Amino acid sequence: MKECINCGNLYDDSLDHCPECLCSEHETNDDGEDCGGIFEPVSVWIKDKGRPEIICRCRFCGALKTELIEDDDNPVTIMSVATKPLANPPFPIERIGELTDLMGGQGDMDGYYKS
Amino acid sequence: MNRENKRRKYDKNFYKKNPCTDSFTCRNCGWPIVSNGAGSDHRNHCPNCLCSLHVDETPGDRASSCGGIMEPIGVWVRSDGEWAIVHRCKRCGKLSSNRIAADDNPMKLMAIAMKPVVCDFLDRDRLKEMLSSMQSQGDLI
Repeated sequence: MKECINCGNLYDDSLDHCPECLCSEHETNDDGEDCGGIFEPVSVWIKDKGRPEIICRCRFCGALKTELIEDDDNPVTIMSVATKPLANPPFPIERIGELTDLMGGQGDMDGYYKS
Repeated sequence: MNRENKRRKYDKNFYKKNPCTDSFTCRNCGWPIVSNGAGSDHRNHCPNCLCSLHVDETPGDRASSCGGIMEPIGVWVRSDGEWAIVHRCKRCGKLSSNRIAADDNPMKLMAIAMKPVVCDFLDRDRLKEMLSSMQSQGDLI
């Protein structure tokens, strides 16, 4: 058993990240030097053949890596990571309607967001 | 060869200090790209398909010998609330993160952000069970 350096949860040695917070420790960087930062999950992507992976980023040095999602990973944490960008869109949400007009009206919100 | 071209060719850190004003076509989708309109001096990816090329090891050094197409695999929110795209090289698998530009295709950005949400890879029953254990905060109805 090892202890998660982010949330203190105990998990099995064979897992490469904590099943609760999906964090892990960044032990050595590309140059072979010790980093010791926390790899936190920033995004989720679907690799080919439908295998979901989390994209982790080191808080300390900014290194990126991908890790396969295990069966016993917390689904609520995964959904929270995956939906974080949607809660913080880079363009005004009111203009989503204009975008769907470009698609020929598919996904129309029936004027819900039109003022 | 004039002095500017000479510097561009022999100074390894030229693009770290100077903006790149070349126009080019996207190698993935063929979109003609100019340097203006990105909202930054350093355009990183195609505004239409958001693909990039693996030419740098560290930003601006043009030192990579790979040259593969880097496809956008995900977006994430930086601590200042700005989106950044995670690129992955199709050839060697290198990951890199880049700020979005002002003229990026918003539909494509939303498509990348929505992809993990609509792909049904999570066990619905287990998710419902966990949400109910959170005292029905975030109930999916």
